[in-house]
Amino acid sequence: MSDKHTITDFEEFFDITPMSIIIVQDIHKIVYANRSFFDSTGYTFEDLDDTTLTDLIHEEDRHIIQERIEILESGEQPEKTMQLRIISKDGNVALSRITAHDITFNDKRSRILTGINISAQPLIEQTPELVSSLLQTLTTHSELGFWVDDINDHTVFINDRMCEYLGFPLDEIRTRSVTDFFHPDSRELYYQVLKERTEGKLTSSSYELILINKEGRPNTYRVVGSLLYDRYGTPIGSVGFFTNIEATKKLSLTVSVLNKYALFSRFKDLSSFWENVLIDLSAIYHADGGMIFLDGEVLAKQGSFDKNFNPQDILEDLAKKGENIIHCQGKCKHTSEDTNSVVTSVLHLNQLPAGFILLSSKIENLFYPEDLDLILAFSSQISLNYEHHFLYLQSEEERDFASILLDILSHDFLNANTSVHGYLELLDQYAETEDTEKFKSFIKRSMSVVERSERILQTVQQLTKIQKERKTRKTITIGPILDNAIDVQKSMFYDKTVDVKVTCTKNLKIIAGDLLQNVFENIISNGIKYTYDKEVKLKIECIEIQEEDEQLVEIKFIDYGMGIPDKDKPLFFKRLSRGDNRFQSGSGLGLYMARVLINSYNGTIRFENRVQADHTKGSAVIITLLRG
Amino acid sequence: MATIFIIDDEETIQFLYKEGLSLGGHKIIGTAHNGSKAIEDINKLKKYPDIIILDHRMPIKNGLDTLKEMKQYKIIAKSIILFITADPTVREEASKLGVTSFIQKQFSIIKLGKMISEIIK
Repeated sequence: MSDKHTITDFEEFFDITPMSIIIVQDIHKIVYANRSFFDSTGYTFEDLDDTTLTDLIHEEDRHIIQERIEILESGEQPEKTMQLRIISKDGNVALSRITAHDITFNDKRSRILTGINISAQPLIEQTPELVSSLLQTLTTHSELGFWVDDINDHTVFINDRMCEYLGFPLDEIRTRSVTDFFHPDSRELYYQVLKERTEGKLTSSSYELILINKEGRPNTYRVVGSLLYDRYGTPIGSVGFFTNIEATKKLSLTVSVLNKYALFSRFKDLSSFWENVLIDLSAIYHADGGMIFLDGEVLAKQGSFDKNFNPQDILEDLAKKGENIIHCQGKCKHTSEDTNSVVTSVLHLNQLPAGFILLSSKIENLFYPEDLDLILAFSSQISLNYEHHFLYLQSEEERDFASILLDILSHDFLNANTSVHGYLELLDQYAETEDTEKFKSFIKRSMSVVERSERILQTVQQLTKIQKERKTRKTITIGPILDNAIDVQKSMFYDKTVDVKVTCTKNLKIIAGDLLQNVFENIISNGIKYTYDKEVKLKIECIEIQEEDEQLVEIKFIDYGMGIPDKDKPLFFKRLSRGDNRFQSGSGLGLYMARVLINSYNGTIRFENRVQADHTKGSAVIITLLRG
Repeated sequence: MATIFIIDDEETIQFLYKEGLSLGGHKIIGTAHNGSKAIEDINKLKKYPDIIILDHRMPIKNGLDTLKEMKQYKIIAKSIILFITADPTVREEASKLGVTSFIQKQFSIIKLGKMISEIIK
């Protein structure tokens, strides 16, 4: 007995498949057909005794079979798939897609042909009631909307789910085209897909369309669409299965936008950051206007707002009501004349209402209840991200500060202790000798180290003060601060004559803090110290400049001292960089502190040569600050 | 008695080395406030010092960078480097560059003198 499978083994399976299957031997002779074939063509097994394969094929398509036979006889293989019109027993024509393979059947070389009816004509030619009941059955138990239209966009069929999606009873939309419901953004895509299908590039495809329902709300659908053909293979219409993915799409897009904006540090310009947030949110929720207001500032804005619209009032109102989100439906004239729906979601900083995200639209019912939950979750999370970012920056700043203090303590104090300990050891060694000069020298050195330790402590105190006060900024008139700094420093150098020439407009104001005088004093002191002449000449000039949109003031401290080589200039503003031992105030922090302070006032500080090409002719320290 | 070259940016510490190590019978043959100047001066000496005391914490060029340059000039092979650091990572880096003797602040200048005498024995 043969252990090979026979057709009988597969017969049951063949009979339940919706595909028609026939097996052909000797080119034309049909030796087997499954139940689907008999059901769809109306033939019986007995009929096939007198029927050849060619008899089943539409006269105009018989050449296709003839050409394939010739290819087979030449020993080559034709294309596996072909499209043919099959004639059923009652004379009806069905366009079929047929696939052919070589097999051995009953120990004889055979061809197996599997075919499927791809003609839509039978469906479209049925009574609308029958089609409707068939398609309703097909789609009722799923969430699928179903729309059939002819090639000229005339609606042939819409199922109940689709009517429900659009909010219209069938009678109201039966005569309308599906394209009437398209959001403008979707039209182009739809016609592009349709064109590709008609040209044969795509027979079916899956894509997203936005349809607007009766209330005017846009909804995104995942659509699987396909062309329908008549019995001659000519496209006669198209069919689309619609799944409403609006809710899941909004959820996934909202989460992805949150992820996108999770790290503020990636966005150097925070104003463009919020603009991008608003653009993305508006796109997700189909809003045509919006605003992000935070900490007293409008950070992003889209669309037009009523001239009386005051974001601060809105925030205060939200805070007073204790609401986290407010949804206005109907006339929302407080925003603008033609706005009909507005969602305002509160942004919290330090657990207090500090701003809001507002999305608006002309469409009255734009926002679904679940949209409000998502927008609220988005607002909470983005304000947490925002807060975390600044807490992170603050902690970094604190860490830097702690590290400077630790550095001073571990390095400068350790050096001072090593010195004092060493000198005491030396004093002990010399105690029995009469070398009083050495003795005095060690005591003098020890005292100098102790004094230096005191200066280090003062620096630490000053740094602590800077840390506390650096955030305080105000408008300051330069003149009196400069005068005070000059007077203080002149009194410190009693052995030198200091001539300071100041050229500054009276009442010129800048934005800085209380420690600005400290910075001025430090620079003036260096200028005096490093001019070795007894007669010291200094020039201080204030210059008003415009840089892009900013009004700035440059304050130039020019000395005629020993100058600084170009390569060393940047080093003077770094911690522990004392260059050639100058500017060594306490622990080398003088100009470092000046830089920290000026930067905290949003300003800059730099060195230049007084005479551009010759650094030995003196220096100019240039501070740039915002004009007050 | 050892010949010693001191590289430390602190003038008071330099003075302490000079006085304290002289008491232990050693001879200070040069000092420098930074690594670049030190290498320049050492290369000018007729004979390499027995000991180079090198502080790691210095502005502009730190001890490790100075060591790297010293290796290029083969100074490490000619003199014993006494490297001053409290940082274990820096110590490990310095070891890789060939340093075998380490001290950390704060130390006794008298004991340092004795330690140097032991090293050059």
